[in-house]
Amino acid sequence: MVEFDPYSYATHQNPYPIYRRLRDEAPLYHNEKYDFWAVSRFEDCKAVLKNFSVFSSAKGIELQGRHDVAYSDVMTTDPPHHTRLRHVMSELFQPAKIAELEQLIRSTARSLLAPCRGSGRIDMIADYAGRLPMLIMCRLLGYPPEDDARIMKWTNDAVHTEEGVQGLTAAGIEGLINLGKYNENVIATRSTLSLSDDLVSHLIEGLQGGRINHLETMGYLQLLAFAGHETTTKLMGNAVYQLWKHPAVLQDVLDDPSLIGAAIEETLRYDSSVQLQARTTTRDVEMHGRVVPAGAKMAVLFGSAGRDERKYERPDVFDISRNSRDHIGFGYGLHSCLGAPLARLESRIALEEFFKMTGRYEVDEANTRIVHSANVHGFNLLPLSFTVPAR
Amino acid sequence: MAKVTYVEATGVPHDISADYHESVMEGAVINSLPGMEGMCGGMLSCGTCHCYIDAAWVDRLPPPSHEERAMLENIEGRRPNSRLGCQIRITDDLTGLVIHLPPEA
Repeated sequence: MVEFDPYSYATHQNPYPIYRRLRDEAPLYHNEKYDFWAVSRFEDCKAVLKNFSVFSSAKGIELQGRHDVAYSDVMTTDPPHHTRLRHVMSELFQPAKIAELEQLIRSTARSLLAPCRGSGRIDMIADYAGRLPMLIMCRLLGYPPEDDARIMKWTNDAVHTEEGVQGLTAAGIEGLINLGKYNENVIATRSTLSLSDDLVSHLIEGLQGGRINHLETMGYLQLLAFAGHETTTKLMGNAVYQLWKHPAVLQDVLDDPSLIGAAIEETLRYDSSVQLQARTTTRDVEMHGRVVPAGAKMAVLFGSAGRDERKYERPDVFDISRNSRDHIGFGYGLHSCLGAPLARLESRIALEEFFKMTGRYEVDEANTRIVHSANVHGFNLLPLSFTVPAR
Repeated sequence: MAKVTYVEATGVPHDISADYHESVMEGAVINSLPGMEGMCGGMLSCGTCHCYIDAAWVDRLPPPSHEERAMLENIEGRRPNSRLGCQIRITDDLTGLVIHLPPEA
């Protein structure tokens, strides 16, 4: 019998063989130890994500249920509240609006790369991809750039899980409490100032106009701190790692940087930084001949959907010529990632500037370290070396 | 709130009350109407919320942005009254709007 344990470190290392067995042997899987269900085929994942009245987000999108330091936000609500909350921000993340950030992102990327340029060594995450999205998010939120490190520490702590343990670590809870205090202070301080064009100003405008309440504003700020970097950081790292694992594809991308966008889309399908989101059933529902009871946790395995041989030809081949956005790496439907245009732009520019500096590179695989999380998949450390051109 | 009508490709009409100024895409998806997928959730990134605006309403809506027009150019079944549902918010003044859904993919 196939077993899927999202809290096992072995699963985090390489979940894909387990996913294949789930798709073939247990398309509706029940884990008795943690009492959750899981769907792994592309069409089943899509069906669950689509049917919000049966598979609700309102009890959180984590398998372990809601914790005390959680707020309502766009990820943890269903329509109509979800619709109301999403529209507070959705205009600001439209691709045309996000495109205005190109120069800011590029200059920030270059300044992060500068110290590594002459050394021939860089840690893709610690020096670069782990910092770029948070610096941009601080700028968008109007936070002092020097706050990026502590916000990242709080969110990193909150994402990390201990082997075989469901739920937040003590450091994770502390991180969320600290982030909450920080955000309370942001709201209190910024509410007294004149509003500008940053994201916090839009939230405070929504708060003062009665479109969102205080807890929802807190929820948005917490979400932006996480979504602002965790998954984008991992996306950039996974892309650089997969391209290294596939040298012929890397050569194509180095020869023609216009392929970077396609490489990012393929990474979202092949090695998604979001592996799992949960929903909670609002009533008994039948799938694959079994009944999932009301109130059950249902895991949607994004990482498995991208490898479903029922959906993709040669799903285990990393092939950027698919050049397709037909994946659920950013989710699907109403809850599809609000920040996807920003993540796409940041990743493209980050990789353009990175490849300009490195050309071909060698990952120091023995010294990589992956994040241990039921939800997020990618690296915390990704050291690599490259040849510095002779002067 | 505005009351609008979606018409399925088969001709079946659905009257919807848009209480939260949702987009045309959201109105269809929330009410599980066939023919509107809305894969990217309204971020102008997938083109799967293509629909046709009733002739009487085409000129009464805010015109499509440059980006929406660019995306529409690549859509199969495009007609002069084609729009992307995610780019139209159902504001109160749109009561009576009629949207024709394409056939279900």
